[in-house]
Amino acid sequence: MLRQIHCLLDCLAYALHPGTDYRPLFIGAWNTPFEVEEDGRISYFSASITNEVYRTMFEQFYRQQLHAWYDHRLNKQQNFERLRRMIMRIQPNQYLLVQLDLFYLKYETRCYRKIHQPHFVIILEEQDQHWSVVDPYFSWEGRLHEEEISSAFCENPLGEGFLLDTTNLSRPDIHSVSSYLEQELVQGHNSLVQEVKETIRKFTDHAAEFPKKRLVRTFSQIGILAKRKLSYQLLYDYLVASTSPDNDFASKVESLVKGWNAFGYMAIKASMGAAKLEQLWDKAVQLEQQEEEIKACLRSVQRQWKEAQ
Amino acid sequence: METVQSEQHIHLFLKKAISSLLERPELLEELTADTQLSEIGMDSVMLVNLMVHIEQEYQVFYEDDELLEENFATIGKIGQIINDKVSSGV
Repeated sequence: MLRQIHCLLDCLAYALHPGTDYRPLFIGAWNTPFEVEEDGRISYFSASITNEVYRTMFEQFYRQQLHAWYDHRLNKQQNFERLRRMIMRIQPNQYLLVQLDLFYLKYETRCYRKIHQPHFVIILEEQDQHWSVVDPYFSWEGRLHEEEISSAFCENPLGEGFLLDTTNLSRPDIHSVSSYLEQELVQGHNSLVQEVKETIRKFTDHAAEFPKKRLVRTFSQIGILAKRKLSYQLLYDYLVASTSPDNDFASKVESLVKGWNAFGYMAIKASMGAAKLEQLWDKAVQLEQQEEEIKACLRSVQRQWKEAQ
Repeated sequence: METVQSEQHIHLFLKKAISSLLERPELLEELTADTQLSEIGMDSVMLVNLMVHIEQEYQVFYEDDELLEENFATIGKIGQIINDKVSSGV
């Protein structure tokens, strides 16, 4: 079952499913990059964060080009014309992935006209100036007028797009999967927790420079980053080749994601003076321990999986 | 009967708190148990603010598991959870 994990990876998984196993694609999604903006916000997107690592991994696993069609040398309008030409001649086994700004998309009421967030969707076809869109992340499918897509595309401060042909996909080979797992499943290091701790320390030690009211914005994207941690479950299921989830492992992952979500709420409380910075710190430490347990469990399953190959 | 009175009290408390947070007094009359709070402009900051009010008023505490957007979607849902918490004393 597809879940909200990572909008680009969810789009690719949608295109691969059900014929090809998409789960290896989520290796390392738990370590998804983030950036600390000038005002301190920990953000999942920025001009310097690209999806090149996922494109490379996709091509290595499935032996099929994931064509990056968006041309950064062209302006938005020129890229949109390019997108329009591509959608006119799209083939049945092809998927056109495009990054839009959720601020302009009516179906996502949480962000519409409120929050700017880059987000990948799949465009299936065009008919009478209406484009068929699939959004696997938000489990939404429908038709949008070209004008709405044009705004969400052209006003997006960033820009990316991919074309995928699923005609000749290979199955991910064990060596590639194993190699990526070795690289991404690193115990004793947690970049998100590390950054969160450093941030809390700044708020604690330099209160004048970092007033608590800024906590809201600083941690406003923690919930989105936390959803990436659901990728542990996909890899666990892949390694144990199981269709029935292990409830114990699943509950550990659920608890981690909910814990990060609670951290986000706690940060808002702290900004109002209704929670202490020490509580935020303790929560970060607790989440770090929880994730270490998950990694240890996954590492153990990985060893058994390797021996069985 | 006691539960019904308690539910009415909780709903009234929530309506007052929400209309105050949004600075829209007319909502006191307009809000129903099923009004989607996201559609009237309640964002995550306001929801946490509301949560703090609830915790203070009813002496309850939200666990990590309960901090889900769907648990704060409507007055009916929030009220139901408060009622459960008050009844079980957590």
